[in-house]
Amino acid sequence: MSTTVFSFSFSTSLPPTPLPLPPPPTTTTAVQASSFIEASAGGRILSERLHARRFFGPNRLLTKTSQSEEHLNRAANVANGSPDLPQEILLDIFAQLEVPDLVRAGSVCSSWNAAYTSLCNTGPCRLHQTPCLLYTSESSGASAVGLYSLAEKKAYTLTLPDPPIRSRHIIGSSYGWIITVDERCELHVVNPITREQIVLPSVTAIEQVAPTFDDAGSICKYLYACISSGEIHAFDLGTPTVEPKIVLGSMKHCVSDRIYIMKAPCGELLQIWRSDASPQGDEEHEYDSDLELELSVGSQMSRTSSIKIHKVDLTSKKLVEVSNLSEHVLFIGLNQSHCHLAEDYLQLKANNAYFTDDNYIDITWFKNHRRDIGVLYMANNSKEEVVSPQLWSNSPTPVWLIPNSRRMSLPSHN
Amino acid sequence: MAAPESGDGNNGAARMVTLISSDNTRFEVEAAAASLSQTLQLTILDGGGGGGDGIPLPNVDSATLSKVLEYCIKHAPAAANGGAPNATAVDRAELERFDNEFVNIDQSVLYSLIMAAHNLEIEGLQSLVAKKVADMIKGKSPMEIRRTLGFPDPTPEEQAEMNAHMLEYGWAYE
Repeated sequence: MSTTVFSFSFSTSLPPTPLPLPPPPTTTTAVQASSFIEASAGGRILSERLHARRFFGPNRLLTKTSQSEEHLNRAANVANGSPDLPQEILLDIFAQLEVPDLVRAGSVCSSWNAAYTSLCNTGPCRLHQTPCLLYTSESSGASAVGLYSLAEKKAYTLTLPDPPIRSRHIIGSSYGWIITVDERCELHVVNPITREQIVLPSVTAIEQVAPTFDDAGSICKYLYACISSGEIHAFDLGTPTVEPKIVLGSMKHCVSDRIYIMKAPCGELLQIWRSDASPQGDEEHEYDSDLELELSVGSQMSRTSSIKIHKVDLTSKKLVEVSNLSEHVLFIGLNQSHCHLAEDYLQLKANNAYFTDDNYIDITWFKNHRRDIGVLYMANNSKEEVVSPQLWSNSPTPVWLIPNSRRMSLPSHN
Repeated sequence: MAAPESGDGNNGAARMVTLISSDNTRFEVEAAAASLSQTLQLTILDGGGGGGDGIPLPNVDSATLSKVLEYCIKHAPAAANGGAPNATAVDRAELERFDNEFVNIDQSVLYSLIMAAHNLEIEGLQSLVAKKVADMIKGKSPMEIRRTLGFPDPTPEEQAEMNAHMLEYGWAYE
């Protein structure tokens, strides 16, 4: 075959074409697939990263037994007419998908299913998985949760294991798991995507908890308490005795704001203060009873009015207020707080704070009230709905969830 | 544009290497561009590919290699800046525009490019083509994905396997 030399340099902005060569013979499946055979077998050798010149020769490519087997396997696939991509490449592709797309890709064919399964068992899922709003609704039943994908602007309905999710409180969300507490204060963690659920040790196992029994001998109530503080305590988990160290003293005297702490993508520590506006007309209005409060469905008890962002300077032990999030987005509520770069998520808008209701008093005592959920644009403090019309019931309160398809190897999982 | 014979790899941007495609076409390209390939980098650092030698790439045909090199040449200056921390927004936007256009190609070409990027271990190109395929998959049902990517109709066994998965994850198929 004749040999042509092409010369390229940085100053050349033209693509290295045209080529005086036969057109690439890639119009039929069989030919396409056969080029995969060769390339894939070569890839295995090349990835050994030895001196390339020793391995680029075609004679070396199929001499090893394993390579020949690979060749045969792939030839079999060609016979079936299925243009298979090697698993490594499939994993690269799957790593770019949001969980619902990933799940669907898992049923395309055997080879894709194998890639899906291996990703769920070992792999990291998409690095920048867009948060979804997890909620329940009366219409979808006691054991179902809705998952509203901000990326797809689409709602999915998933069924969770018992006890029915609508009978529990959702108290947190982290790494794709939600934490729930049922009416007996028993704790569960559950991954809605894999439907795996772990029953945490009963609260009666905690030394300080003394169960109270009713006449029938069953447990009826516990006493528990909660404290909040603006201080930052650091726990060094690498030491034998883990003790808190106060790295930032109390920064504010008013404790009505909710305070979140999170790491920005650049590694900086952020402290976020979220303030509620006083409920409209609430001060003048006196309710005759809790019942009347419960009945005033539709009114909103608290409403996020401002979100203040501070950088934590651990050296000078100070907070530095910043006026906006610039290229970032925040996710706050009962979930593990997150700060992301908006550009990593197609559908998220920079300088916005996505919030769900986590006002303890509201979500505990005013279950029927409209939840304080929305998107706050930091530039002008304007608020938007996450989705309209509202998809969720007011209780249990919705949370942000970062979907995670990774399976735990749970010993007793059936 | 004579390639220096010296193989010590310290000749900077001017050094040229020759790559030989599976159909025996020779491509002369700056070492810095070819070095975006992790696979080639070692050979090039070793002084390979210079002069009349050339590095044979039996898995990459000339049409694909030409496309691959188009990518490498465009991305080499930014890569030389160490991932371009001091690149201007304009430079970044230009690269982004180039990337988007670059993968706007026929599927058969895309497949060859995927395999070549993988074999040559060109990180940026690997994630670019993976992202392109991911974009083709997004929002589609398994059957739509099969049709988009030109898979043949599933065999009864495959169909049964697909159904089992869809049953387990029914929510994703609403």
